Amino acid sequence: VFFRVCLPQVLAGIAATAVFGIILTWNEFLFALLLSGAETRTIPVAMYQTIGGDIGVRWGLLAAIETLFLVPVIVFVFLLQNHLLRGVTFGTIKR
Amino acid sequence: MATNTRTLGARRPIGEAGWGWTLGAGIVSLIYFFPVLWIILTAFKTHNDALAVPPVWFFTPTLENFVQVFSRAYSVGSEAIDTGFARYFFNSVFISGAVGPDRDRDRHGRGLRLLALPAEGQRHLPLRHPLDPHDAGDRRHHPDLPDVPGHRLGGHLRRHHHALHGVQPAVHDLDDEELLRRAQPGRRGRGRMDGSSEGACSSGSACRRCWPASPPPPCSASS
Repeated sequence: VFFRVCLPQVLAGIAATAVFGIILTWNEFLFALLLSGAETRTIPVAMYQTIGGDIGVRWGLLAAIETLFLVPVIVFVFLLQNHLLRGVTFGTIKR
Repeated sequence: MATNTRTLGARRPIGEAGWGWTLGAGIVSLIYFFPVLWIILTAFKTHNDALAVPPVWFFTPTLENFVQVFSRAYSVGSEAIDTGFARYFFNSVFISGAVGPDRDRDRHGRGLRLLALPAEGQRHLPLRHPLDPHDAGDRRHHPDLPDVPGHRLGGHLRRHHHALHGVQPAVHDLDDEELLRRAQPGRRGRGRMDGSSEGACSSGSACRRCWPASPPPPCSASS
């Protein structure tokens, strides 16, 4: 009953929640900066530590990290875009 | 008829929205997307091109920056070493995907438990029958709704209809025999959300008192 009836009903909500949750944790910086070490660093912290150096800000390197950082979220959102649209607009349209 | 057969998620052709609206939406989208586009373009520039004033629009793309993401020299003249980006990338993916196993509750991760929360909620919902007089009505013959099974993902209208009448498990697509068969194991009377029961059958099976409007199955209890 759960897999054939309940799960399809809530799938749009789960997908929307998953996308928002993943985007939130993917961009999380402050806790990762304070609580992570050299082995547990995440990309936002690594990006922050890339800034600076003997030749100033390396904008090309920073942009390359940012581009790689964007790819998983974009792929994830594209995979779930149909469910996401339904989950976000659920209950908002009145005929 | 046309409104019933048309799905809410269907995309309209450009001409239907009008070229003005389409052009306006395109310009606004471009303005919003421009910073991201500029970052992506900068990733393919050399250091001099990235810092050039005025900005360079036409340049020879290079993958030098992407190579340096994974391995670079931290001071002038030193040897390039691994930056650990792959590990950081894995850390981000791991943090976003799941926190870790919650062994006190089950052997799934907390991320998976988050996905299982709607199922936990469904267990406390009352199981309703489409012919039950306490229910909001017979959804199988609603005149405004297309006859699309509610458990199909494309059933926007039907689920919207559910939203108007409260939360309803999609049991209306099942016949009476199947409903009773599925309802019996966990059923306690009318299954209220506060855990109490109303007119519970002491035998544990569904009888006429439990299902007033459905064909009564054989009941072992004397009622």
